[in-house]
Formats: sequence, structure tokens, C-alpha cells
Amino acid sequence: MALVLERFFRFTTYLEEVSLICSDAERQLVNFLTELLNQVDERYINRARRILSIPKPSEAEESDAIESLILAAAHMDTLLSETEVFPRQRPPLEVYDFLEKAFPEVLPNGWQLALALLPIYNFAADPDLTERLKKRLGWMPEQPPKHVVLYLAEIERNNPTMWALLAHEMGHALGEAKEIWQTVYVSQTPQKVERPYWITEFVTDNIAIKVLGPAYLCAFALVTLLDDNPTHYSDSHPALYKRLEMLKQELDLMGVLEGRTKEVVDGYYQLVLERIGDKLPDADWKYNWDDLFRRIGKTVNMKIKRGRKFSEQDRKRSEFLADLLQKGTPISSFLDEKRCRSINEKAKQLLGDLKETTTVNRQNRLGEFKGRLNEIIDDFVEESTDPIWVLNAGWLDRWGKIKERDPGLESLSDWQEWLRKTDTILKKSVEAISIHEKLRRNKDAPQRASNY
Amino acid sequence: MLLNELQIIERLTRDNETRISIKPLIDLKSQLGPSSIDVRLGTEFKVIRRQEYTHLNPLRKLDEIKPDVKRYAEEVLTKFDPRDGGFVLHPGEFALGSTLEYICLPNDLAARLEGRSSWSRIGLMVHVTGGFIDPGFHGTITFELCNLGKVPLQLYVGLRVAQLAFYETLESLKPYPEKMYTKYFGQAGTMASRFYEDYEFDILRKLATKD
Repeated sequence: MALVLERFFRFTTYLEEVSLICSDAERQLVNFLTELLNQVDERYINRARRILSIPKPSEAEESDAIESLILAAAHMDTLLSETEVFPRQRPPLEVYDFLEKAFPEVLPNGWQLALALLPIYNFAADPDLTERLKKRLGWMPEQPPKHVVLYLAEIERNNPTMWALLAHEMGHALGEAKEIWQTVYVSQTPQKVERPYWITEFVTDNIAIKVLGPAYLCAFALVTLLDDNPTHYSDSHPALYKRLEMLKQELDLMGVLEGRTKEVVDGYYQLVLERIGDKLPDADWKYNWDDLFRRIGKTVNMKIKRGRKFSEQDRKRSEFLADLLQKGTPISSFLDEKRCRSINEKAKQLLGDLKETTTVNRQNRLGEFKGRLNEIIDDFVEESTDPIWVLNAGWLDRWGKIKERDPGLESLSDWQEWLRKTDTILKKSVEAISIHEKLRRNKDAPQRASNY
Repeated sequence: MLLNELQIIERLTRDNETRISIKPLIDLKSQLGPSSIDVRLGTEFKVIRRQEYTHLNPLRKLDEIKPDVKRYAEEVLTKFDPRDGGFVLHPGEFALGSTLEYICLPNDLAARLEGRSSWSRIGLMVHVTGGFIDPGFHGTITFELCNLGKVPLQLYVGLRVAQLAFYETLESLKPYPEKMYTKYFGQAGTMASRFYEDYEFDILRKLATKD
């Protein structure tokens, strides 16, 4: 252990010294490294697996130095991932709440969501709880007929921008419940139905992008960037780059690619294309991709009518929130801009009237003043922010920082600090939103009359 | 000048840097007082593991005392769920907590954190003299919770246990972020004390190791 820690220490130092090797793409990988290095002394060395994907620096010597460290870490990964499968803690509730909000009314009655953390870098959905997990989660005896357990890579628990990937896993549960992929599958002519599981993956991606919008594509692009071989495909999963292609196409169709969002999505997509280069595999399958993607999009729209869809309005709100984030302002609730201005005007007017009124007149006009104040207070209702806007704002903000190349953020530790802060603000925002919603949802509970 | 309710609303709705930002502001109607605004209990607490330490020696090396302080405080995470049991503060116990709200103060306003009378009457203290908030501060406000009563108090996330009063000043030329040795700017959650970072300790440490 000591040896690995020492090696990681050298690795951090190395990165600091050659921060210039951090191209735009690598900058994003630092996000993962940050978590890894923060946690490396706390028994989670297995997360090291992901740094295998760091693009090699140009000079051979540097490359060798990095590689040997990576291999050591990868070895530890294998050792440790076998020792612990389930998390020790209960899952963080705020993620659960975020999913509840992201998929309103689409989860069939009687279904329940649970979230568990994985010590390896994986996201997954499981239709049932194992006995062991039931115990871990403190599951109650009055079990609902169906469960969906979503697994989140523990390394990402404090990185809300990557929670977006859970939407894909949620899509697995919905796709099955609503029999979406069966519909797409049946609509294909038999000779085209090669690798039927691919349809499952495309459908779930389609559900996720419709609910989360650009945040899902950005998170997915980052995973693609980190993958050892984004053009690799298997019987169960199509190549990552192909899935990304569908996501981009779908976002275009949704009409939300404009302004800053377009720049960010194009930016991430471009990074993936650069990473793939000319290593595109030969097409040994017979799908008519455009047709398949269109069919999937249509079926998802038809089957999940009540599902929330990412809209143009959402995009604008996310961009607005990203601006606030860059000023270090929290984004858990907001007052509509017009209403805000009108309240401010009214308050100023009342303040002016109060100052100008003489003591005698004030007594006479007290009722009027109180009435005006009550009106202002009644009008002041802050809405809780949609967690989906928060996720999207997080990606826009992150991209802004990468592009801006703040000279103050040149060292890895500065970058780590900045990521930690923004992730905390994002996470706290989602947490606050869930509390805000619950307090408001239960406002019908008997209350004492207000004095105002 | 202490702001009254109308002035607080006016500040909350400004569209420039003199705005007070309180997020989330869940229910102004119930939170606004004549000259204050109630704030809620957040989800993170830190309690002292008394059994593990005889004392904290701030004259130890920085890299030794820092993890020491971290270990000294046990983190307790709660959530908005009454079935979860909340956070129990035992008589005489001291714990750190924080507001649910993230607050941004402009450079011409200072604030004071005060308890709410209803909670004080059953023995809950929300700060132990550290209730002053500088102009320009951004972040969650730390509660220095202490139960002075005779029975344990069960505290739940989202409860309005304290209030903030705002004082208008001339615009500060050296607001909190520009203050020397700023330690808690931008904190989101409950942060343990960083008293050992005071520069006087550097001097004392130096003197202590001098022959």
C-alpha cells in the first residue's frame, strides 16, 4: 500500500510539473483524477482503473513513467475490486430524489427505486434486490412488487454532473416496463435484427437524452473519452461512439442545440471524434442507422408520453444558472425575473411612501401600508430549481472554465479545488431542491394561521 | 442601520451586486420577521469525539494538526426524513451544523446570526459567540450548536432554528473574501474550525521549536 501511495504522490507531482500536457481533453480527465487522488489513501485505490485511459504525453520518457504507475494502480484495482462488492453506507438520498424528479409519473405504480454505490467504475441497473443489498439498504418488510436498483460508481457520488448517467440505467427499467424495445425490435425486418441487445441500449440512451438533454450527452462523451477503445462493440453493447452519434442526432431533432449549449455539445462531440481519429471499425452489421435511430426516437416518444422532455425553455434556464454558478452563486431556487423586478419596484415605492409620510398620516395609512406589504410578501414565491437544469448548468459551467483557461487554475491542486467547490455547490443545490420540494408538497398539512 | 422586513425584501430582489442572496428561500412568508429572516437547519453535523483526545495542541505542525482536527470531529449526515430520527443533541453536547441556505452578502451589509426564542427556551444555542457575518461573505452559515437544557433535543433538517438580521454599513473596502487569512469563504456544508491557521500560531510554533 505504501508503495502505491508513494507512486501516486509522484504521479501527482508529475502532473503538476507538466501541466502543459493537459490539453482540453485531458483537462476533463482531471475530474476523475481529482477524486482518485483525493481518495487514494482511503481504501479506494481500485478506482485507479480509469486512469488507464489518459492520453500519453508526447515524450517517450514521460510516457513510460506514467505507464508504470498506471499499471501498478491497475494491478491494485484487480486485487481490491475482488474484496468488496457492496457499499458500506446507505446511498445518498439526494441522488434518489433527483431521479424521482427527473422521471415524474413514468415509473409504474408500485415500483420503487433504490440506489447503491459500486466500488468499481460502473453504472448499472438491476431489476431486483439481492438479500445482501436489502440488508445494506435497510429495506422494509412491506416490499413493493417491483424494485429497480441503480448502481452508481462510488467515485462519482460527489460529482453531480456524472449522475446524468443514471438516467440511462433508469431507462433500462422504463424500457422494460413500457415494452419499448420489444416494439422497436418487432418493427425491424428479421434480417436486420442482429445483436438485439443493441436496441435496448439505444432505446435507454434515447430515454435519457429526452429527459436530461445536453447533460446526458456531455456525461456520456466524457465516459467515451475515458474508454480504452470507444470504437469497440460487443454483442450486448454497441460502440460508444455510435451511441454518441445517436444522442447528438436526437438533441438536434429536439431543437435544443443553440447558443452556448450547442457550443458545449459540439465541443465534447468533437473531442470524441478527435480521440477516435481514423480508427473507425468496418461496418460488419446491417443496420440502416438513420432509420433505426428515427424508429427508436418515435417509439420512445409514443410510449413515454407523460415523461418529462428536455425543452428549449430548460436550455435557457440552464444557461442562466451556469452564469450564476460562474459568479459562485447557489442555484437551488429562483424568483422569476419579471416578478423579481416588480416586487423590487413595489418595495421601493412603499419604502419611499413610508419615509415621506408624517407620523400623523402614517397612523391613518397604516392599514394601507400593511396591505401593500402583505401583497408584496404574497407575491414573493421562489420556485425550486429543476435538478435537470442544475446538471446542465454544471456542464456548461465546467466547459466555460475549461475554455477560459483561467491562469489561476494552472496547477492541478487549483483545478482540484475548483472542481471540489463547484461539485459541492451543485450537490448542495440538488439536496436543497429536494428539501424545498418536500416542504412545499406537504404544505397542506394543518398549519397555524400566519400573522401576515 | 438594522434592516426591516421591507428593506430585506427590497435587497432580496435587487438585480445588482448589492443584492442579498439566500438560496433556497423556501417560504418567505413564514421565514420573514419584522427585522430578520429565519434560516433552516442543514443536513451535515460534526460532533466531537471526546473519548479520543486529551486536548488539541495548536502548536503541533500544521500537517499534523490538520488531520487531527478532522478526526476530532465526527461527521453525521442526516436527511429530510422524520423516520430517519434526525440529529440528537444531548444535554451539554456541542456540535457544529450549518444552514440549509447558502447566503451571499453584498459588501455593504453585515449580518448577525441569532437564535429563535422558541428554541432558546428549550435550551438550544445556535452559536457560541461566532454569530457575526462579514460583508461580502458567501457560503452556508455555521451553527455552533449546544444543548443547555436537561433533555436531549431531536433536531431535524429544514427546521427554522435561527434567524439572520442584516446591518447596513458603508461599502466595505475590504470585504470578507479580501480579508487576510480568509478561511470559510464559499463553504457549502459544515466545516470544522481552522483556528490553527491563525498566523499567531505560526509564530508560536517557531518560538516553541527554538532552542
